[in-house]
Amino acid sequence: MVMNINGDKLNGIKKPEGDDGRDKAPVAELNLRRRRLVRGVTAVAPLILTLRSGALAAASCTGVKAINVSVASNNKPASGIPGQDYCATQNTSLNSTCVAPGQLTIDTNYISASTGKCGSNHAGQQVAILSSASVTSLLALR
Amino acid sequence: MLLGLTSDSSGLVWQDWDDVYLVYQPLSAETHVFNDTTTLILKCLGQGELSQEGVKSWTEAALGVGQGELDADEFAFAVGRLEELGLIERSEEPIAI
Repeated sequence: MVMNINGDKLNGIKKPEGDDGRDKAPVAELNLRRRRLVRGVTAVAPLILTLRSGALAAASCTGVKAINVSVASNNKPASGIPGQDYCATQNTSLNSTCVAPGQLTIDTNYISASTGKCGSNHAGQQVAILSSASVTSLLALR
Repeated sequence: MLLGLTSDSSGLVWQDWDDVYLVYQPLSAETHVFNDTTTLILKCLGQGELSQEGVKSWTEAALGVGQGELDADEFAFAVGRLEELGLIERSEEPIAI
């Protein structure tokens, strides 16, 4: 439910008409006090966090762990954690670990825990290494 | 120096989420997380311009904590951050003639 700070279904903050209300304790404040009592903790420090939107996050940094990683003829990458990280085909020549979606094609499977090989054949190529968290994030943006 | 809300703040979309509020700011396309204290700062200024000290005092009263219990530096930092976000602004206090 979208609401304002008084719990009304409104967009934005609205000044109550004809009532300054500054020296009173409106219902919302009483609710806040009750909530604080229930929690048993007084957290009065202001909290302001700004979340990155998906587009901003994608444009800023995707969490690629390594780029331009050589893959040997046996399909083993020079870095990356088997069983956790993913190899990804670099669609362009990358020079930064902050890349946009679309610059990478991610393997279906992670680097094999048993063989240490990329999830698909990249023998002789340069790949990017992504953490599983990065892969999850990037796939969610598609 | 008085603090007041900007026109940006009137378009905020609020979502109560447990102990915090998710606040979408359409003009910047940003989503913020505010707690009760930050929310009360904006609520106070939603009722008209007030000095920073006045807002702090009102917020403490609304929170049900003692005067001065809200750390001045933390409060000033929050006010500065809200200014950066374009939600509040400072204006010169009118001079009585």
